[in-house]
Amino acid sequence: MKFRFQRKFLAIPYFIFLILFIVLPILFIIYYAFTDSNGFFTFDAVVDFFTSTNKLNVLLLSLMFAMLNTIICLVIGYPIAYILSNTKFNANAVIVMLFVMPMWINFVLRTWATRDVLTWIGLDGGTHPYLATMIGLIYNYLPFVILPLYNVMLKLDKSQIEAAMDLGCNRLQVFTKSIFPQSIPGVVSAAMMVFMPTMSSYVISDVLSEGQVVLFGNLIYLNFSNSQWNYGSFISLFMLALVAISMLISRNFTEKSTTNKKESSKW
Amino acid sequence: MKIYKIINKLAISLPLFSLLSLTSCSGNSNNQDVLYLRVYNAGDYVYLNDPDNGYDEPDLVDQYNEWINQEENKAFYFGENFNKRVEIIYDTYDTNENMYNELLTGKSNYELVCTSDYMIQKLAKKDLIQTINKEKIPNYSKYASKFLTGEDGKLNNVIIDEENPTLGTLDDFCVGYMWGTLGLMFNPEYDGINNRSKEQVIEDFTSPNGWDTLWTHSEYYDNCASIKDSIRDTYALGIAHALVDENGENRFAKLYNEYSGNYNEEYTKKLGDLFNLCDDETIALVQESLIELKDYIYGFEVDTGKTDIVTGRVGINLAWSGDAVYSMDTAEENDVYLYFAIPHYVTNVWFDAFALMNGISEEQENAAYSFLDFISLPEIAAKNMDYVGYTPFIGGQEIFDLVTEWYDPRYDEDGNFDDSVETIEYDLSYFFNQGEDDTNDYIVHVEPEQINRQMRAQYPLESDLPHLAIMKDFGNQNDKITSMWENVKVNPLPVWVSVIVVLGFVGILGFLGSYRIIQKIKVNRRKKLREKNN
Repeated sequence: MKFRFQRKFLAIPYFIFLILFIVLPILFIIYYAFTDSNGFFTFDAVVDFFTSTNKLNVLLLSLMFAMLNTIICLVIGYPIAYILSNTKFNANAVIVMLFVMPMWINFVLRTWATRDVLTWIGLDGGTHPYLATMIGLIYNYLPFVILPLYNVMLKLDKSQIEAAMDLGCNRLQVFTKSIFPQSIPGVVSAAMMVFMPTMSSYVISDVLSEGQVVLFGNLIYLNFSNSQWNYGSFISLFMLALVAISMLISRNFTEKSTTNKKESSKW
Repeated sequence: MKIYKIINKLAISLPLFSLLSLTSCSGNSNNQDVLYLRVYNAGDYVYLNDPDNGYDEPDLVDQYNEWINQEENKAFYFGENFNKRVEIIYDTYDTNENMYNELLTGKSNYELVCTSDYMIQKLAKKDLIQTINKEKIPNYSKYASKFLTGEDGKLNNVIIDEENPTLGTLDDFCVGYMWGTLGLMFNPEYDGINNRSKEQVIEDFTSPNGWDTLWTHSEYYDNCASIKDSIRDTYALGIAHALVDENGENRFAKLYNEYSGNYNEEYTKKLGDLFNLCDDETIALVQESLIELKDYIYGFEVDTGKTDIVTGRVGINLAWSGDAVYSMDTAEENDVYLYFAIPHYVTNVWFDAFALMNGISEEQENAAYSFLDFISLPEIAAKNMDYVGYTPFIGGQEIFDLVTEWYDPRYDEDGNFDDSVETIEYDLSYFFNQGEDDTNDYIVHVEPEQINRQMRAQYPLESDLPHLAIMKDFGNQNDKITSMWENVKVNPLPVWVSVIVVLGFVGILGFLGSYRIIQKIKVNRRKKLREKNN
C-alpha cells in the first residue's frame, strides 16, 4: 500500500494525547465512581455523597468561595480592564503585561510567598483562615479575569457608544445600555475562567488557611489518599458535571456573539 | 478503525521506548547482565551527597552499588556462580497511603519497600509481603538493638493480625530502619505565649499530662500550635486527651497512678491496649476533642511545621522525633532553643522498616537481603543517622561513638577534654547493650537541658520506656476513623449561609440559563411595538 501523507495526520499527536490523558482517565473515573472496592457495580458513592452532611457542606462552601471569588474578581477586574483598553493609558500594552505577569510564575510558589506576605500584614491563615484563603484566591485568579475582559474591551464598538451619548443617554445609561451589554461575552468567559478552577482549587486553601478550610479539591484528595477511590471518583465526576453545566450555559453567550454576524448565521 | 490503527502503533512503540531506556541504563556494564533491585522509600530518608553541608561521600545508593559488586560480597550474598552486576533503582514516595495505593493497584513494582509499622501490618494482612529470613542478614542480627528486635523487643510485641495470630509478629515481616517517638516540640520563649514564664511552659509540656496542655491551658497557648494534617498522628494526640471513663477521669492518668512508681510489663501491655482503642465510642470522644482543639490551634500542617517553628510562625508543633532534632538543630543556629516533650501518660513510639514484597525471584531476594545487610552495618547506619536526623535500629560502637561525639560537651572541637563543664549521665545501655556478655556501660555525658532536647528525642530516657505505646493498624475501623477525620476537618456552615449560597447559585444559573430566552422575548416585544406604531 502506498503511503500518502495527509494533512489530518498532523492531528495524531494531539489525538494520542487526548486519548491517554483525557478520555481514558475520565473513563477510569466513571468506572470507579460506580463500583465498590471489589469492582462490583454499586451506587454507594452516589448515596454517600448526597447523604453526607460533610460532603454537601464542602460543596456549599466551595460554591460560596467560587461565587464570591468570581464576583469580587469581576468587580475589581472590570474597571481595570476598561481603563487598560484605553490606549491613552496603556500605549504599548505594557501595563497589561504587568497585570498578567504573576501568571508567569508557578502558582504554588506564589501561594507560599503569599502565605508570608499575609503573615507580614497580620492576616495569617492561623487566625483568619477564610479571609486568607479568599485573598489568595482573588490574587491568583485576577489575571484570568483581566485578560479576557481586556480583549473584549479593545473591540468595543465606539460608534455605538457615541450614538448612545448623542441620543441622550447619561453616563450611567451609556454603561448599562451600551458598554456592558457589549462586554457580556468577556464577562462570561472571565467568570468561567474563575469559577470552575476555584471550585477545584486545593493548594491555595490548604496552604493559606493552614489546613483549616476544606474545599472540593481537598475533599477529593482526602478521599483518594485514604484509599476511598470510589467516593473520591464520584466527587470528581460530580465536579465534571458542574463543569459541563457551566460550559453549556456559557455557550449561550459565545454563540450569540457569532450569530450577530449575518454571514455565520447561515452555517 | 482509525483508533485501532493508532493503538496498534502505540503498542509497537511502547516496548521500543522501554528497550531504549534499558540499554541507556546498562550502557556502562560492558554487556554484563544486570540484576536490578528496586527499592521504594520515603523521601529524604537516606544519605545523599551534599558537599555544601559537609556530606561529601557519594550517595548511599552508589556506595551500595560499589560495595555489592565487589567479588567477595557478591559471593557471600549470591553464591559463587553468580556473575551479574547488581544495581539499585531507588524511588521515593510522599506518604504511606499513596505508596499503599500504588502497591495495591500494581502500578509500581518493587522488591523492597520501607514504610511505617502500621502499614507493614496492612501489607502483611493483604499478603503482599513475605517473612524475613534473618539468617541472610547477619549484620542486622548482630547490630540491631535487642531492645527493638529481641525476643521481648518492641517489634515482637505487635501481632500482625489479632484474628489470625499464626501470621506472626511485626518482627517476622520487617527489617527495622529508623524509629522514634511522637512528641510536642515547643519554644518556651515564644512571643505568642501569654503570661507564662519559660519554666512554667517547660513544666506544662514535660509533665506526665503534657498532652492535655493544649486543651486545658488554651488561655496561655491560644493560636500557638500547629498539628499534623494526618489522621493517625492527630488520633494519637486526641485519644491521649479524650479517653475518659464514666467519671470524666482520663484513663491514661488513672492507669499511670494505679501503677505509680512500678511501671512493669503488665502496665505497658495495658497502656498499649488503651492507646489502641478505636471502638465507636472512643472515636466519638476523639472527634469531639479534636473539634474543640481546632479552636485553640494555629493550623494543620503537612510538612511545614518543622520549619514554621524555627521561623517563629508557630511556637508549638506536634512533631516526630527526627523532625524535632532537625528543628532544634536549625533553631540553635539562630540562638532559639526549642524543647521536645514526650509526656508520660502515653507516648507514641513508631518504627519505619523495610519489607520484602511477595512474588519476587530468588536472585532479587538475595539482592534485597544484601541491601538490608549493607544498611545495617554500623558505619553505614551512622552516616544515615547523621544525615537524616532519625535514630536507626542499629546499635554498635560506631553509632555510640557518634552519639558521644555529638552530645558530650566536655570535648571541644579539637578533641580537648574539659572536666569543668557541668554534665549529667544519660544511660543508653537499654539500647546499645548487646547481650549478657556485653559488659560495657553505655553512658553519655550530656548537658542538663538535653534531657528535654535533642538527646531525649533521639533516644528516650530509660524511664520513658514503659510508657511507649505503638499505634497499630485500625483494621476494620479505618473507614470510621476516616469519616471522623472528615468531620474534624470540615467546618459546618451556618444554615443561613447555606441558604444564601444555594439561592444565589440557583439564581445566577437561572438568570444565565434564561438570558437568551428573555432577550428573545424582549426583541419580539419591540418588534410588536414597532408594528403597532406603524
